Amino acid sequence: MSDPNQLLNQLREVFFQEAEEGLEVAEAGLIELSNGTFDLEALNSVFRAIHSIKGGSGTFGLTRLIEFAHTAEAILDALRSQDNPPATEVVDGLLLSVDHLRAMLAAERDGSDLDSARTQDLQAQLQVLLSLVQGGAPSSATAAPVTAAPAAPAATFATEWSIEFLPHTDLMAFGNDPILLLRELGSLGPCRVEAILDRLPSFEQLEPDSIHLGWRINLSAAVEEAQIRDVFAWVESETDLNIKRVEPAAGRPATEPAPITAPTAPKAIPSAARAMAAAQPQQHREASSIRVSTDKVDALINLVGELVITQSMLSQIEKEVQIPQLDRLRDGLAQLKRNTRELQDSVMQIRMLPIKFVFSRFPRIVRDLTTKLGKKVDLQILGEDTELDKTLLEGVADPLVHIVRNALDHGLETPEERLAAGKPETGSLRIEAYHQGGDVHIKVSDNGRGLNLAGIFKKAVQVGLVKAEDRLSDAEIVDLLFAPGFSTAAQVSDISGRGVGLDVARRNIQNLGGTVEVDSKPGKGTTFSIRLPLTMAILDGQLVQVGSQIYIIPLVAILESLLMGSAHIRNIAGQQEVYRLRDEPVPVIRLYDIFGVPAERKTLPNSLLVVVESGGKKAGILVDDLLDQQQVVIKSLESNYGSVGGVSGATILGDGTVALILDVPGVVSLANRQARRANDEWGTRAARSQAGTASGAGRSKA
Amino acid sequence: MAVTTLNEASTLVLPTSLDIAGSRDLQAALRPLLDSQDVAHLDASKVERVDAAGLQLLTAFVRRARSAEVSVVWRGVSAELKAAAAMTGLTFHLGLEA
Repeated sequence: MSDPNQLLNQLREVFFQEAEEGLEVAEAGLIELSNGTFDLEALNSVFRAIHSIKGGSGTFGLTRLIEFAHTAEAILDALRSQDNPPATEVVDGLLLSVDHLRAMLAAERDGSDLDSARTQDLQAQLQVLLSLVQGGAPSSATAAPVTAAPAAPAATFATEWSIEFLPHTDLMAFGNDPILLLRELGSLGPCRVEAILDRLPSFEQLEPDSIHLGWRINLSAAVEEAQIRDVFAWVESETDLNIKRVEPAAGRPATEPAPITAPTAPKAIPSAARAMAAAQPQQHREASSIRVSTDKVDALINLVGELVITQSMLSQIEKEVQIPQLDRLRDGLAQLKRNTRELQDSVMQIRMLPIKFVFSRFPRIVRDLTTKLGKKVDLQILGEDTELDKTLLEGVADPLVHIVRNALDHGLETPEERLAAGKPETGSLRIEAYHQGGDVHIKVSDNGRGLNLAGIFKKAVQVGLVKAEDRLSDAEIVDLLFAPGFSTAAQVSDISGRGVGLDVARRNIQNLGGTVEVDSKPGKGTTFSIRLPLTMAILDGQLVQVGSQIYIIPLVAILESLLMGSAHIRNIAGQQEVYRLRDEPVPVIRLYDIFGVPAERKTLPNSLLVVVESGGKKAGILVDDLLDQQQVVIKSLESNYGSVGGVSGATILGDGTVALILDVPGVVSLANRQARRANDEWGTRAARSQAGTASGAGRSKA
Repeated sequence: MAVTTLNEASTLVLPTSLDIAGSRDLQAALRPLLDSQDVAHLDASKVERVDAAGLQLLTAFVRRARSAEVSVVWRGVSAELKAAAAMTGLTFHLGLEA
């Protein structure tokens, strides 16, 4: 018998997951609505999402959520009876309420404290919006469900005022300070203040005792225009003042009564027809998918992995035994191999999700940031149905957000700068994803100013990454962007400066087995290209032998394998051995030295070198022999052994032996550390022997 | 009147009063930060009084710095400056977002 509490908890968890997804849908719908076209389907999808959250909250007794969702739902319902797109402030308010619902859900889920002041504040704002949407005359009936919220009654009768306050340049010369006026205005009711900087001259040309700022203020207060004018009475002659009452969304017939019945009904079911229309697409969606926990899927994938190993073990035996029925056995094994591979592919598909889950957040980010930065950007999103593994999807989200913020902040110019450069004032940001050659490619391109290579170099010198006299290629300078310590992000109060730097973004992508490249043309724009494997559970690898050990090098990291000719081998001062590959020095890494295992071949001439690439640099790994190339199932070592340097995991080969999978960047950094140590020792020895010679010479002179 | 000082870490320490009276001196003190460096460090922890002229000057400076690709790093910001920036809708323009 299952425990009823356990069942309830499971259902609660499902509700939270669905609610989160619902909020994503609502957010996407609201962004669509903010485009200025009336889209009933988008409105319905937002309504459905909020309505479901309210219903679920009722089931689990989450009263605060019910009240909050109810107000948002009432606004949406009122909007559905109109033929016009909602006003920007209505969409803004609804987006804020989506954010807050998310926070409320998280708080309920974790049992953490909720910012109830924020809830009340937003609730009051939503009430104002509701009366606005319903025609400006809030009825007591609409306010009824939320009267419990203390802030609500005052706001219920508030009017929305739009005030443009443009002081004359000499306002401050008369001893008046706009800050005091704004403070006074704030005492009337909640204000949203936006500074107007159009008239502000450049820093050099600014006369600091003249005032060139202006303000646009949205005031929600139960006041008359005269009361607002009173605030500015003293400065009337030194100010241009424009006060307007914000009317409800235009185009709505004045005679049509506001649909006040819907929000007041305790169960908030609008009309039967609408509710059915709302419910239909959802039923369809429920029928086409089921919710399964990731743990169950991972257990299944693990089992299939074991099956692949067993199958390759049987294939190995087939090569070694001689029995009369061998042909039939061989056919059976071939079929087993085919079926196993297909089964594996199908199971892997279960973990695949469309990249839409990550891309869907970008319209909101772009909208918020461009508003803040005063930029105009046309966002294009392509290939959002491209699928990749859930773990990869989650891992790539933060780096992508960082890259997109970076493009908006640094890449794209302001409309003035663009016009001055002869470009259209609206910039373009294109985010696309597609499959190519077994990998997922994600590109973020802007048509902004491009990278300022001289500026990057200068900054790198300043933070001590390179010396002013260093000569770097363009590609090497671009690579500095990803160097740890390049970004001043942690200190700068900037848009892309919050959160991780580009170095962390690249490291996260590399940890997922991916790469990042940057392509930039001055004045034309910048493209960040990310390449990721489809999945992290299997890997195409090259098996190599070092002594009695077999290692696996991921194929994606290998550039080529070659037999070393003695003429190309150089021993640079100290201990660093290099192989000259088409005039490019490639440091040689002796794997047996790093891992401390015996090896067959220790001399370089006529030995095999596997040339790999890590972080844009080449390195050669010395191996005894090259074996097969094959797909291997990755088994994590970390759960049993912790993190092992230079090794990303292990696999079981067909003959049952365990082979370690090399973490190429890790191996390269281990080798570099070893080379540095050897170099230091060599340097100390050389210095000592030089000192000895010098003192000997001194003595002989004396 | 010297309204600002450069301490050891080349940080411009803003005066206690960011107002119209001292705005010309402050403008003169800020100007060199745009010419010589890629990062301008400002310390506003001692600011006690702010008026619109002071905010306007800082806003023009931060804007100019952004277009010249000079990063403005706030070493400290007093509650008074934060409140005045919030009230005038200039928090973002001054790069004072948390």
